[in-house]
Amino acid sequence: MSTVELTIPPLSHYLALVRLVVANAALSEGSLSNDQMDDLALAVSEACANAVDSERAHGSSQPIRIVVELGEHGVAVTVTDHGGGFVAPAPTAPMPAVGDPQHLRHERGLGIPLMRRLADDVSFRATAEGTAVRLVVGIAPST
Amino acid sequence: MDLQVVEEEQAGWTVLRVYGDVDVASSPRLREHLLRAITNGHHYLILDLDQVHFIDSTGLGVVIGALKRTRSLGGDLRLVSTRQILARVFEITGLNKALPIESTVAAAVAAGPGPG
Repeated sequence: MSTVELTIPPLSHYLALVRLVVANAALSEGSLSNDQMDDLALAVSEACANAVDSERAHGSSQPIRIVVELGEHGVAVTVTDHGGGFVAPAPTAPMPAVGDPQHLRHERGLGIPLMRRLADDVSFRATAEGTAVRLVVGIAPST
Repeated sequence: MDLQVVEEEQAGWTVLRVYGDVDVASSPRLREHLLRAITNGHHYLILDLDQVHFIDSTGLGVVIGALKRTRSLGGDLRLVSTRQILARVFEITGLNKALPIESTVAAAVAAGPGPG
């Protein structure tokens, strides 16, 4: 298994760089389809956006760490922030009903539901200083 | 790539053709473009995202916001894209029920009653 690591300042304009690195890392290993690569890029971008938000809310300027594990049949990406932690909605929480034309009120809050649907596995872990989110697309690389 | 928006009129609709990624960093600029168009009296908008390779949940939020504003003013917003990821995200969020995705600007114009 190969690993690629990257740290970024907690600023949203670095998310394009994260997507570029994650997509190219996944591409180099060739273990994901194009659709899976799109899913992974979006899920990782959402996770990093949440990390940036958490750090801003927490007054932190610590770097956000992104670790990409490249396996034969899948990719796992872990995003770790210093944002003081948060409580993720339960995995069973329904997707907000944005589709109802009378209730188009979900201009925010789609990020985590999207992550859960796009990735094959999502786990949130509290760390001493923040949150680590692990997203798997395909089959998780064995460590 | 930096977000760019090119605006043109077509059959009474204002077409906003977007280039670049729409993410949490760039979506405020897209929102500004849409709000400016609406404020200037353009209530029938076609948002052409065919050249947008990436859109995140904040970008979807901007689209939802603009859809609500145009409809509340008696107008409409239609969306153009042929990208698979957008179709899938629209299905996942259920947004496709409120806002179908058209494959071309011409199809978007023809999709229903317009400003005519």
